[in-house]
This record gives sequence, C-alpha cells and structure tokens, in this order.
Amino acid sequence: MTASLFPGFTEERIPCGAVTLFVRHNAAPDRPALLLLHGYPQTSAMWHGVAPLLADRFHVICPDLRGYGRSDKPASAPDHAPYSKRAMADDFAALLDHFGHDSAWVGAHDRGARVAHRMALDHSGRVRALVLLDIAPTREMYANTSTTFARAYWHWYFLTQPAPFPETMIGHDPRAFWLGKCIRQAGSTGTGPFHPDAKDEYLRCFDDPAAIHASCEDYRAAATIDIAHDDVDGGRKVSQPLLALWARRGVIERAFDPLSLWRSRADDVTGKALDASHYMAEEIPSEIALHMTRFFTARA
Amino acid sequence: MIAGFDTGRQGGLAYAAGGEGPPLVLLHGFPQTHAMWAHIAPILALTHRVICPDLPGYGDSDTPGLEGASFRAMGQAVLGLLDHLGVERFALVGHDRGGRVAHRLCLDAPDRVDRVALMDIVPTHTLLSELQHDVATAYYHWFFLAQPEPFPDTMIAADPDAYFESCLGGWGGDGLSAFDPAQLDAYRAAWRQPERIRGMCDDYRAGVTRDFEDDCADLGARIRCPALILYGEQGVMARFYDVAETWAPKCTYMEAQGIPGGHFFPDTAPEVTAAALAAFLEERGASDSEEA
Repeated sequence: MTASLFPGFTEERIPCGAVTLFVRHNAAPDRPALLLLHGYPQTSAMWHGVAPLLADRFHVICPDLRGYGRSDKPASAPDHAPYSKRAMADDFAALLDHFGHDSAWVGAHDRGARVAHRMALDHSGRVRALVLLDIAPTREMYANTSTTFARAYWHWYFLTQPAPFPETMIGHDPRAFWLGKCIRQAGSTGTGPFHPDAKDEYLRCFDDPAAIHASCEDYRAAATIDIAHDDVDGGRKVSQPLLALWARRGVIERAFDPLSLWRSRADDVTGKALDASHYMAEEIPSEIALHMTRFFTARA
Repeated sequence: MIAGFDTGRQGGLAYAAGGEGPPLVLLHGFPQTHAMWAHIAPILALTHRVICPDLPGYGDSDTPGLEGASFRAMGQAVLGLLDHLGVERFALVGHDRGGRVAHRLCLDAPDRVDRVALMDIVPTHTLLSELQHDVATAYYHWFFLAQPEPFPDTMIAADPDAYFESCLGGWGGDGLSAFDPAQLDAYRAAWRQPERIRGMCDDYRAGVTRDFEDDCADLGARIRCPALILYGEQGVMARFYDVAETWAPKCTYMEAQGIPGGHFFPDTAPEVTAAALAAFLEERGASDSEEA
C-alpha cells in the first residue's frame, strides 16, 4: 500500500529520545532535509501527493507525530506535557540528529504546523524556514474566539473536555467520528479529498483507543500548556522566514486575519489563501509542492 | 412525576398541571423534562395554577423538526397549549433553554406575560456575539450539538446516558449524587429516545442560527414585565459573567439573586429555588392591584 502511496520511500521506526516514531522518508540523507509534519486526525500518509514531488531535491522526512499513526503513544500527565508541542518539537530535533542533519526546512499542516511553530522557537538553529498550512497561531486563535470559529472548530472545545468523556464518545464508533468530522470539514461528501489508501490508514490508526486519547491530549495541551509556553516566551518571534498558506474554503479565512496574526508572532511572514479546503495538501498537492520548492530554494 | 399534578397532551406537547390560582408556567431546559419541577411545582401550586410543559422535542412532547425548534416556535407552541387551557395572562419561569424560550416569549407576546423569572442564563445574543474561549470550552455543547444532523445525534445515541450525565454533572455542579434518582430516571427515559436526541440537537442547531438572527433583529427590545434573574452561585455562567449585568439592558424592572449550587440548582436546591420564586410571585398580587 505504501509503495503505491510513497513510491521509492522507506518506512522505519526510529528512536527519537523518549519515544520511537514511525517515519516515511526517501533515504537520501545527503540532500537537504525537509521535514513534513501532519495534522489531526491523520498520519504521515497525508503527504503522499506532496512528498514524491519533492524527493529529487530534498531528503523528505514524514514522521507520524507522537500519539498518532504508528508512532509511540506515551502516557500523558495531568498537565498534558507529554503532548505539548514542545515535547513533539523535541522528538523532531532528535529525529534530525538521527539522520545527521543540522537543520531542516519544515512544511507542516494543522497540528503539525503548531509543532513546527514551537520547533522554530525552541530549536531555532534547526529550522531554516517554515511553510505552514491552514493555521493561525494557537494562542492568538483562542484569544480571537468567535461563534463563527467555535461552530466550525467545535472539536477544539469538545476534545479538550476532561478525560475520558470525549474519548468515550468517540470510542463508540471512531470511524463514524473520523468520517463525520473530516468529510464535513473538507466541505465535501462521499469519500472527501482523501486517497482511499490514505483514508484506510487514518481510519485504521484511529481505531486504537490510545490514539484517540493521545489526540485529545494534543488538544488539551494546546488549550493549556502550549499557551503557557507561548506566554513565557513573551513577545519572542519566530526569526526564520515563514510562508503561511491557508484554505480559502475554511475557517482560517472566514474567522481570522492570518497574516496579521502571524506577523504578531514572526518577523518575516508572507502568505496567501489558496483555493482549497482544510485538507489542502491532499486536494492540491502539486501546488503545495511548488510553493514549498520555490520558498525553500529561494532561501537556500 | 409531580405529586398531585395531572398530566395531559395537547398539540404535540405533553404537560403536567396542578393547583389553583393565577396561572404560572414553568419551562425546563436541556437535557431535562418537566420532571425538573418535581420538588418546586407542588410548593408553587399552593398559591398558583401551575402548568409544566415538556418543550417541543423534549420529554414526552413530539419532536417538531428544525423549523419548530427555534425559541420563537417553541414559545408559540407553549402559547397554543395555554390557549387550549384557557390561560390568557400568566407568570413565566424558565431554566436554561426554557429560560431562552421565556425571554423570547416576553418579546413576542408581551401582553400575555405578567412576570418572568430567568434561571442561569445570559442572553443568547450576548453569549454568542461576545464568545470567549473559556465560555466556548464550558459550553462546548452549543457548538457540538449544533453540527448538522445526524453527526452529533448518532454519536450521542451510541451512549446517551454517558453523554447527558456528563452534562448534568458538569457546569459547576458536584456530579449526579446531588440529583433525585426519580428525577434522573425521568430524564433518562426521555434522552434514551433517538427522537428526543434529535429534538435537543435541533434546539441547539436553531440556537446558533435562527435564534441568534431573531435576537439580532430586536436587539434593543426590553422585557416589559418585572423580571427575576436567578443564577447558580457556583455555576459556570456566574464564573464568566456578571449575570445580572448582562440582563440589565434587556429588562425594564429587574432583580437578581444567586442560589447556592451549579447550573442545575433547581434540582439540587429545590426548596431555596421555590422560596425565591414564591417571594417574587407574591409581589405579583401587589403590582396587579396597582395596575387595577
């Protein structure tokens, strides 16, 4: 299955500090590293349309985030620290160590983009530049809560309810939850924008109660400890070049001013809306790959 | 469910009624039924003719569909029942969603409501137009239940007790132990029916669309009759808002009082609640005679 989704790529489970991550990569460690980080409730399979287009130029590394897919799902803690974006960013610094990369370009979507934001701050020497898909900064999104946002991103408020309530409700039929949420968020019907093999992987991975719990912890961390980390940073901004691309048919476009929010958190921001839904890497992969290639090679 | 009360059905609405005197209508909220008044209604029935409907979509009432789930439509359904019972003017008490129906009725039928008590709500428009992160987290169900049918309906139907008990136990409450088991049984019997789940979701689907638009259309309107605002002192509304302050610009004559407990203080502190309502309703005689 992976052969057809990621031709020429290798799959490995790689120890990264406290956890072992499942990683797809094109086994080209001599090329400049490009780290691609997926979002909720997905896996590295979401890059199947993008990663092969970048493989000639980069060492393309697509891990499953901790708590997701086939990566470890460590026990959480009352303060949700094991699922903080800081802990996840540490995993990816260790992953770069494993491959012998001093630094990497980072392309990231959704939750992965929040990790990329934190990694750019905590491991600033390891991140050369960022392309972030369809997010605004976490703290600023919560601070700009509106009914438009809460209706579209109801799951930000549902998944953050105390354990085990959302886990229990999702666990009764994880696939119905996954499909109901994602197909609708894609503004779609039927199978949505998802490749059948990728969707099979998402659904299979989301059947695991540990994955459901871990992904709720990811959101609980975002609403608490991740914001606390942002607050401790004060006004510290991302210094690396940041390209924000967001979905014209999505809540970032409807409810926020993403460029101005990103400019409050980063020095060098460009970006625009693209004609897509939230799952833009799967809807318009060639366009995403082209944006990444241009943006990164211009800054090489 | 309410000792000494008769039950009936009219136009798709189930109701219980008892007592004699000036008419008093009690409207329950989510995820409850008229059984929430079991320990309050008999006290008020000593001096009033008390009528406790199940809201459309709730309890033993029919589920009307999304069009019938707005606060305006629910209010009209309650008026239809009162017409049938020969009630022209009445005092009105509403908790939670029932409070929102009561607010809407005060604006839509001001000549029929002579006194209103709104329990543990801030105005719908205030909550939605100035939504804060903490409020959206505490009231996540406003946005979850409002998702299109059948997504939340199906999720809840897989385990309605777990879902709705999490609601009753939250919002500043101390869990289910403070509830009367017989009342809980009545709530469970209703929420285990898929049609009631759909009815409750429809209520919230209308809440963020039609109801919000209706409120936007008469933002400056005030409740003309005397109003009593009650709120749970440990409830989430009191934690995030000055509840009385949110109602002041929407009322003409208003008093406010905190009741010990969380959002479901009528269940967990029925005597205190009944006493506060009885005191407010007693003033009615005085103001009625002034008008006369």
